Amino acid sequence: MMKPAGILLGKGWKNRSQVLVIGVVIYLCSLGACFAQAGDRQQVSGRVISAGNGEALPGVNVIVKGSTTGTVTDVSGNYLIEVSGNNPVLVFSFIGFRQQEIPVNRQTMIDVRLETDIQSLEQVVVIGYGSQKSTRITGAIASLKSTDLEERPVGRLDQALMGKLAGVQVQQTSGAPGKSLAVKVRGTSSINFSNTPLYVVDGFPISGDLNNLNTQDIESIEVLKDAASAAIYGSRGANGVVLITTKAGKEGKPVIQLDISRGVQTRFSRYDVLNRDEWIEYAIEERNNSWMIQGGKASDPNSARTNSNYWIDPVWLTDPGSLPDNDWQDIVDRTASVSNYQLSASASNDKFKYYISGNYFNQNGIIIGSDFRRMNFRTNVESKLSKVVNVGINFSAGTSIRNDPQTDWNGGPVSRSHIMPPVVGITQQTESGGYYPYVLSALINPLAMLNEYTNEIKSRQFLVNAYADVFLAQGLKLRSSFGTEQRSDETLYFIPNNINRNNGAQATATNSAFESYLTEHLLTYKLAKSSWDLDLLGGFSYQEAKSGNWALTKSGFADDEVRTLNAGTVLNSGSSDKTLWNLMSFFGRANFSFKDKYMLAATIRRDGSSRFGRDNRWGWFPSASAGWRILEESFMKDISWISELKLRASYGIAGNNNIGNFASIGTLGAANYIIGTGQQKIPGYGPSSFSNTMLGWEKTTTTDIGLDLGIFRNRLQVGFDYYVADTKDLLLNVQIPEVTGYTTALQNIGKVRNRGVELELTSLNIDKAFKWTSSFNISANRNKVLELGPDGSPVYGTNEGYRVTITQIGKPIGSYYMLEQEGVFMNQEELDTHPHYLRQNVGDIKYKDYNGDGVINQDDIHIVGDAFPDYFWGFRNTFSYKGFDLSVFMDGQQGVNILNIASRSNMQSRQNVWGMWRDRWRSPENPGNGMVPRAAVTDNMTTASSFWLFDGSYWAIRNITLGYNIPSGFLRKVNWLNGIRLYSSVDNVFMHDHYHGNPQTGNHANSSLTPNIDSGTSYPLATTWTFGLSVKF
Amino acid sequence: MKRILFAILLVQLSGCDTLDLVPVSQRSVEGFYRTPTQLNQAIIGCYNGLRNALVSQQYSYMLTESRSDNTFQSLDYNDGNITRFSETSFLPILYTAWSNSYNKIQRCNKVLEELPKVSLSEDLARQYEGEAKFIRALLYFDMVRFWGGVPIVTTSLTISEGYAVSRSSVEEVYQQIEKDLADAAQLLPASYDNTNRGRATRWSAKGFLGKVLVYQSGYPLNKNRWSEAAGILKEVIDSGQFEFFESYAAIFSHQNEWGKQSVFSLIFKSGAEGEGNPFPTRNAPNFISRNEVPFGGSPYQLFLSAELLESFEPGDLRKDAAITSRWTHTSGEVITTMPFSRKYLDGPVAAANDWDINWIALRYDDVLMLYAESLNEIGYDGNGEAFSILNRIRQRAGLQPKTASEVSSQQAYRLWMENERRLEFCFENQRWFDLVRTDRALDVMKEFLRSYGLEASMQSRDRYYYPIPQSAIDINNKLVQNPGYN
Repeated sequence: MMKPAGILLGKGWKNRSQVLVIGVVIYLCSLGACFAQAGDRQQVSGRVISAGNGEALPGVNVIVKGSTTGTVTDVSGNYLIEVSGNNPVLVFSFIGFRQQEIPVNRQTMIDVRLETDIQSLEQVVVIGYGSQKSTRITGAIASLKSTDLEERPVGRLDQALMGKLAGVQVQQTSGAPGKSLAVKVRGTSSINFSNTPLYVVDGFPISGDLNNLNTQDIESIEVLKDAASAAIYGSRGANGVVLITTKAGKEGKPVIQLDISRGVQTRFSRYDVLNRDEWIEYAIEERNNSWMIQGGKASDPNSARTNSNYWIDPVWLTDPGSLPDNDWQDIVDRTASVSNYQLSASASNDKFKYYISGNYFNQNGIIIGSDFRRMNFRTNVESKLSKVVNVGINFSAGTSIRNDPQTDWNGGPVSRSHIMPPVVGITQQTESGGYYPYVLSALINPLAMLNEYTNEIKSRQFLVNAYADVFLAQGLKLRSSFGTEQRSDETLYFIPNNINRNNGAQATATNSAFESYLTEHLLTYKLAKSSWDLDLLGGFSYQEAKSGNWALTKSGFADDEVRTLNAGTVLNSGSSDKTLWNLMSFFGRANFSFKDKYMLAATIRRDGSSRFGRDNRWGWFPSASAGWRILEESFMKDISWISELKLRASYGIAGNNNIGNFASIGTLGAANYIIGTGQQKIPGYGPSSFSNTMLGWEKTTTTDIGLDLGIFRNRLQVGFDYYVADTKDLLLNVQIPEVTGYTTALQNIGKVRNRGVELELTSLNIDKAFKWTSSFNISANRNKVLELGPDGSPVYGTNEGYRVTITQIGKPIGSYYMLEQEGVFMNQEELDTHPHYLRQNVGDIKYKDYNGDGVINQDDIHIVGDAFPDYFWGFRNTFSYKGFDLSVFMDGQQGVNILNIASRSNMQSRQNVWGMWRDRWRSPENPGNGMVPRAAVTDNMTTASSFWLFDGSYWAIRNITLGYNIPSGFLRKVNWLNGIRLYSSVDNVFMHDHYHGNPQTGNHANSSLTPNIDSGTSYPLATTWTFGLSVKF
Repeated sequence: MKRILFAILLVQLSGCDTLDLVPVSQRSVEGFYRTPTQLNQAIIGCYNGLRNALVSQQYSYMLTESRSDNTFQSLDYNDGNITRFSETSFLPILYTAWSNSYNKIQRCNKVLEELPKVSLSEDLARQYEGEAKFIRALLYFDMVRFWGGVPIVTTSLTISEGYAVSRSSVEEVYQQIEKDLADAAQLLPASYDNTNRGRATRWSAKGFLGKVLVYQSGYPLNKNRWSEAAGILKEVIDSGQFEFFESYAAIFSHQNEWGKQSVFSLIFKSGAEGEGNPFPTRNAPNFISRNEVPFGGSPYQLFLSAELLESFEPGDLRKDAAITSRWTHTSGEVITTMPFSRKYLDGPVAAANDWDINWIALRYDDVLMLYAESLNEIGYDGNGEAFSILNRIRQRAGLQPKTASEVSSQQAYRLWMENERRLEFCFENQRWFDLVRTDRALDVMKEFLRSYGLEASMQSRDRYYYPIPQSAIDINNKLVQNPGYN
């Protein structure tokens, strides 16, 4: 008889149901029909706390087993429930904790300690176009929840991913505020094109940069690593797919959350360079040596030296102390602040749910003049229109401003702060300060650049996706969505005359706009029987994108006051361009599960795109996978210490369509000429590339075998994957015979294999009042080229004109290919007995006679290293006690090379050089460390050799965070407060490495063919000290 | 509901050719070479290519002037090794020169292929054919002098055809050049109206044809084609189209950039539109004060050899017209120890390396001197035209004429010509080629390098040619390396 009331029971309806219950009871009693054996009806109360930290747990479900009676605990973890019947049992359940059942046994006070469940078995994982219970996953998917992201604010989402997921390599190549990180999933599969994964935000594939995404809005991140998971994204899945799900309103009363954090940043990575006295000594030595190589004598005065490169400032000899001793890195850096403010509100009931947030992030860079400010808003709402229709919209808008005085540029201030000699005055090397005649005149004062450049980049983005769910029949649902992403970047650049070598001030305004439209229609059907489940998905998707740029450059500015283009008098250039692409897709998936024991899944996608050649426009992308939860087998029943055991196997094909929009169509390049005495410029053209109507996507076939293991009630969880990913039809800009008129042509040729293992371990080491959890991941990937070009001939990579890498069958992509340095010619005897390369003298680099033929020449060039780490790892330990929590995050990589093209110091003392030149060869008696040659401009400086190569292995303490959650006992007095967290954290705490800067560095010119090349131009990393406060209302 | 779904699908399916997008901001090859305007644009592209190869590309001076005894370059750039005769087949500039030449040749080949398919007036059809052949000939003329027998490509090749190509002989390349120039001389008009001036004329083709005949008469072919050369050069001289300037400096002045001292020029225009001439400032020192050279010089400057400076006779007006010996450093210091080439350093300039002045590819003086040289080769005549021409050159330079008693033999005249050509055409990329064709490079350069202790690197005529770039051989092993570079 109580049933009708019970149906109404639900969290949001507690009070009303109690009223009803009481009402019904009164009604029945008033009928005098109180025969029910309800004489033992009683009230039970108590408090629920976490076994781990003793904290009160609000919101715990308390249900009388077998009935529909229930309640939830209040803010302080207290509950009150009325029970009846024989031997009632209370069930306490809460997300993230193991469910507990306690018989009442006439107790009136029952306090409960709930134990944490590291990974709830029923966790749901987002997959392409849907979601799935984690136990039923058959592909290789790495997952990160909001709890992993919320501990501390991080400026960028890619930064938050760093080191957290096996198989996902995230490199912070530059420390510049707001700059994106390099993300790679399972190695490098494309040689010439992007290896960046596809980012999908709430189902919308975005244009690439995560710049305007607010980390605190994110509910979960899933990375689809194998082709079986990613094949549903067809021609865009081969580099992996990162699915980003933003927060939605959660059931319960409205939650308002305020997060505030502030921090300071100081320089973390620094180059060791020579100081004044060291540099002067070095410069005199170098200039004399170099002049002697040119045929002169060390005793020649400057007037006899034909080139000022060999001149010696007389002051160096007479009064070096009168010259400045500037440490330019100190001069350009600063202690800088960072702050983050976020306010969000969310709630949900059975008709309506919402999540809204606003965020403001403000970071000053540790290099003077650089900063980044961002504002974000998000609204996710969903409403139930009727029993069969749900509608919703996810809307986010962001705007950011970045000031970047050309910091990462090759000739920019960071680079110059490494190579500007210490003797140059603080205002020198500018037009107003004059040029110090004894150094490279092209070096512009870095401080002046930072103070005087304008380079302001404004970005705006909004992403909106509206959808309707229509429940057509039992288990059958149609979702139709339409959305758009719009973004624009606007840059104002101004270079004053003072730092432009008297070429006059110049300003450039550029704008780039991107718009993308997407419509998707998904039909899903779920059939659940007692022993098996079947999920079917069929879908259609169409996306088109357009982008356009314009740029105007003006000069002839009267002064530096007004920096916008209106103040310029001469229009130097103006241009605009547009491009577009589209993609049409059909896809389907079937998931079958038998008794949660045997799982089968198959997907298929057909993609057609304007990017592919006319005769090769459509492609198929199939996949199949299977899972076997051995745990569910009867023979496992007795092995109680195993709490999860699953084998996974998958196979699939995914593509990479990042091949450029019109790469299949041969283009004409502008080639103008002047005709006539009136000097008229006549437009002319010449063909600049071949047409290839068969041009298509790169195809990656991945086989993945995985094992998920949980032991001791999942206190230790292990995830292991082994994969082989073969990418074929690689789009190579293949070198072709130059007699055709072209040096390269884009062709689908070549095959690369990435093979690897990934291991993820999570353990709950101690689960008392003091709690300690660890999570560790390690990945090893081996890259090997299997096929190349028509005749298999290798592809070479050059940097700054030097051939430095080879991509060769049987070896990793972009292996470093150069002469090997054996040492330095220590004395005349060594020079006489060991073969030379070109002109060499004592003190020059001794190259290895690799083929042993007694001659050093091109035949001795061989592979001396590569840019693929043997393995990389991340390790996180979290400790908590009472309200305190401490987390320490470390990461590292091993066995990777960096090519530092700047280390060749081919300009020698016309610039400053690294500290390693202290150990140079000076004389047979003072030969240095045997690896650094003499100071001189020689062929050695411009001969690619392992002298330029460095070890990029490191391990680092990336972050330490200490947090304190104010005890609920204190909060109980302030009932509008739901929680306060205080924390402080340090990023980039310590790094152990063998490099001169940031071993994760790289520069803009990096590609798969010329990887890990550092030109000494990258913005240094910062150590950030943050203090924050998070309040829930 | 399902009907709606199907409707959506059908609408979108029916637009399957929506996937046929074409570039918006990039011209594609498809649809080009169809109209007379497009064909003119393609020819303009050929001229652009020629200008690029002969002046704008660094190899234009690195493989010529830097190789000669006029300069001694520092090791900072590719030509440091070229100066020292220590280049290997990996030297990047060689590959640039190789691939760029074929890229520009391809433009000409494509025009010649498409030309018959377009309906044009006969005059225009003849002119375009002549222009394409003229430009192609000049590109091959440089190639045959850099590398000797290079592959001859006269049609547009597919990639697989490219793999089948092998080297032709020096003789075959010269035959191709000669044929193209002879055709061009037939096809091209004698002159143009003012709006079309700057295009190659019949006389441009004949002038270069004469020069090519002179080269064939020298190393390595040593064909005796002196009479033919003299004949065709005489035609140019007698055309009345050209003028011997009485002032040497005036030849290189901006005011005279359209003057009759030029048989063929490459046209430049300043204005920071990529049409400017880099030659004047490229040769000037990097540290020169902006007051002396607007926008400064460049690090790629030519470092003039002492030997060249000494070879000017006292009072030679050409020295000061060609060389600045005293200049001001950005620091304010006056430099007198590092002279630089100042040829063409005149006229408007709008940005760095963006001079307006045209660059003369074939000077009338060159035609005269090649003619004089041909006459001397046909037969020494102490009172003949060969003497009068060369003395006219000397007198313009403010020097005393030479007499038959001073230059008493054919051989003596050759050396006189060699020296006069060196001074007359210094920094105009002629010296190295002159030394090779007269087979004097071995002796002269060995002697020159001796003063730097580098004579060991110039020990045989193998060094008359550069190595074929290694990457070209790597991709097509039918290309055989030049001797001495393996």
